[in-house]
Amino acid sequence: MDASVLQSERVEVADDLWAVNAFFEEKGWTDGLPIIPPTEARVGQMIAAVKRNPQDVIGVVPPRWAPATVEKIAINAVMAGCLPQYMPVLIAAAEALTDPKLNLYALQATTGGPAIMLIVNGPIRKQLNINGGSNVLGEGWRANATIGRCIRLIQRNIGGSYPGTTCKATLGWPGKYSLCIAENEEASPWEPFHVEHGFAADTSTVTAISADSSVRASDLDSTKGEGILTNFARRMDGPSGPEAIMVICPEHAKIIAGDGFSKADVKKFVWERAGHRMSEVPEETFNQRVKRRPDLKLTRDSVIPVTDRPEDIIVVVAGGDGSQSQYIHVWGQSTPEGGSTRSVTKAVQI
Amino acid sequence: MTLITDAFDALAKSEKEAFGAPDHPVLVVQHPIGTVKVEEVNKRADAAFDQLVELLVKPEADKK
Repeated sequence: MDASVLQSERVEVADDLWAVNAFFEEKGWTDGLPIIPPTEARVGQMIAAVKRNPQDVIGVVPPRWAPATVEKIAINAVMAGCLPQYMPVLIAAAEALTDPKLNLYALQATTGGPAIMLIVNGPIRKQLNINGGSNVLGEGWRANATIGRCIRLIQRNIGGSYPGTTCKATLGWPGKYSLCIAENEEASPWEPFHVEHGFAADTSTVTAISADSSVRASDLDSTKGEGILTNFARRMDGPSGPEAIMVICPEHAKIIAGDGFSKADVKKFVWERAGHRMSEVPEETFNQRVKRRPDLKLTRDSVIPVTDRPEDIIVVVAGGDGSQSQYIHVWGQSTPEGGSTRSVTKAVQI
Repeated sequence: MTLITDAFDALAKSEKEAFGAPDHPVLVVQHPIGTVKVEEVNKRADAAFDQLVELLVKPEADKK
């Protein structure tokens, strides 16, 4: 690609990796980890991988409300350590990130400090070696690590989200560095997430969702689906969110499905058991909940469900061997109007 | 106009810049308001009231 078409400002720094990183750090352009210098040649290679006009605007990123052009996404992709072949996933992820339904402005500004979690489905998982198996929420796979990191750098460098000033996360959490998983479709007894949401099985998709913490839903004792789901539901107690994510490991999924639970059954079963028990909260908390959700007509006997509707629970099968699932809490409030953020799924255009 | 706590001052400045509205009126009260007693919230509201009226009734050009 002809580098002269790139419009971003050029800076000259000594040809030394440490010097480049010191410069980027001083400018506030990193997440704290070292970056790969986004030279014209590397950015050009990224853009060439999607055959898009570098100035195509994929979306605008708050709170700066700056355009995420293909070129700007490519720069952050280089910095994050992505390979050029990841670009179609990054473009789809950026589309999801900037979709108004996700409400990124609130996610960037809130004291809650959520990460943007990406869930990848379809054939692109295998083509790019995006991990959906062992240690799926941990380290070890370049695609997972750098695709998630690129999204965070886009939030920072294009969107202008800086911790302590425009990002008001009280604590944040490690997921903010990078949180990208593939669904382990091959190990799932149910239809994959994207098929459940109307996409063809051979279409690849990226889903973006706000995720602000994770709780281990370990269960090494249960041999019945009902037991696993009952114990899982207990991990989901507490204030509700607009959605909730169950990352169910293959061993648990196999037992649950083997006992006849469809995905919809799983959601319904858990929804009926998980929640915020008003009998267990202090008086002040109860009064606040009553004020916030007058539509629920809460009493001390009420249980505020984990989401407003069972279908707002997201079920994803991921992970390797073992009986270790996790509940990932979605930032925000469920509200009578439908909630402060919603997950967004976009098809990957190859 | 916009009402914020002082913890969000930098964000408000950034937003005004992003939208090309440097004179957009913003009323700033002390942070936090979510975890203080209602009597304290009322005090802060009373203290901010005159400025609120000023921001609402003054012509746009005179607002800071």
